Amino acid sequence: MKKLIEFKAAYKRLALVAVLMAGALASSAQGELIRNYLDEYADNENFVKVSINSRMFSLFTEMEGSTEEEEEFLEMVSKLKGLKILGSDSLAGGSRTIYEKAVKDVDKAGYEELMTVKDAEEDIKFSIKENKGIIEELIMVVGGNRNFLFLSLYGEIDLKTVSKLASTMRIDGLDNLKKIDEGN
Amino acid sequence: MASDIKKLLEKYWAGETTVQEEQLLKQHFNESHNISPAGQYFKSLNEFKELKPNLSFKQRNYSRFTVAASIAIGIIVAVFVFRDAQSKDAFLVEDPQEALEITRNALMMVSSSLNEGGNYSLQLKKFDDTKQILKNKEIKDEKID
Repeated sequence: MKKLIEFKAAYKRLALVAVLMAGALASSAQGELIRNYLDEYADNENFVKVSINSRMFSLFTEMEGSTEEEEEFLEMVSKLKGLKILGSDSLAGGSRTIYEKAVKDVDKAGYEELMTVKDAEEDIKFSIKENKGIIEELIMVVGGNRNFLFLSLYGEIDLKTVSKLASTMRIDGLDNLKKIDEGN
Repeated sequence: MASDIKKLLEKYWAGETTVQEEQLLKQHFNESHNISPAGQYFKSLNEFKELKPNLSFKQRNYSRFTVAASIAIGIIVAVFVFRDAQSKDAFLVEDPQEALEITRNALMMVSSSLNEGGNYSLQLKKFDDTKQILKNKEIKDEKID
């Protein structure tokens, strides 16, 4: 009987270790796919590779935005954990093949398709990984005739704020244009 | 005989007995079923001796799981440290200013592509305003032409 209790305790301990292992693996899964791609093209000079980690994003939180939009932008960025980009715009023939492969890999890795944009110049595919209503990772794959881009953004992503960014920026630009007009 | 044992016991408590004398004492009490405190002491001493192998087995059993667990944890930590060192930060941007610019540009690109798709219905009022301004501008330009 004593032995049985001993074994039970030992198995409990083992189970705990297993749970911890699983947790560690799950937390490292974010950005895993693009990490593989970055590794694959690590030595290829044709590709630009960028990685920004959470330490850097937390530095941004100490900055103060000069405008409301800037504040909003910094606030959003501070929730991110990582940004990784692999891109090239000097691919002669193979950019479509890389794009097809990347899109397939993203699907296989269990990402959910958010949207696909196709036009004459390039295809863009957005995929997300969601957990309890929060978008944890956003992947953007772009494939053109000569260009390819694989971007992964992870952490806590607020799509509304992200998509608002571009429009606020355009307004800023137009305000400047107006000033020039007035100047003339 | 009894007085001999008594003497030996006194020597034993004083810690002055030799190994042979202790052996003699143990033998005596084991055989005599004496229920005096001294007898019980030697009896339990004997019982402890019998328990020993069992105890050591349990200890070995316990330590085997501990060793297995520590090895497992060690391997996991090693794998993570190795993987981090190898790939995670190979292309890390160290300059905060540069990192901020890259982040801004990347998000801007993501943002404008998202809007381009249109599926994602986030046609904000501000955006409509922008289009209106653009339209007005075009009309103005045409008039100038």
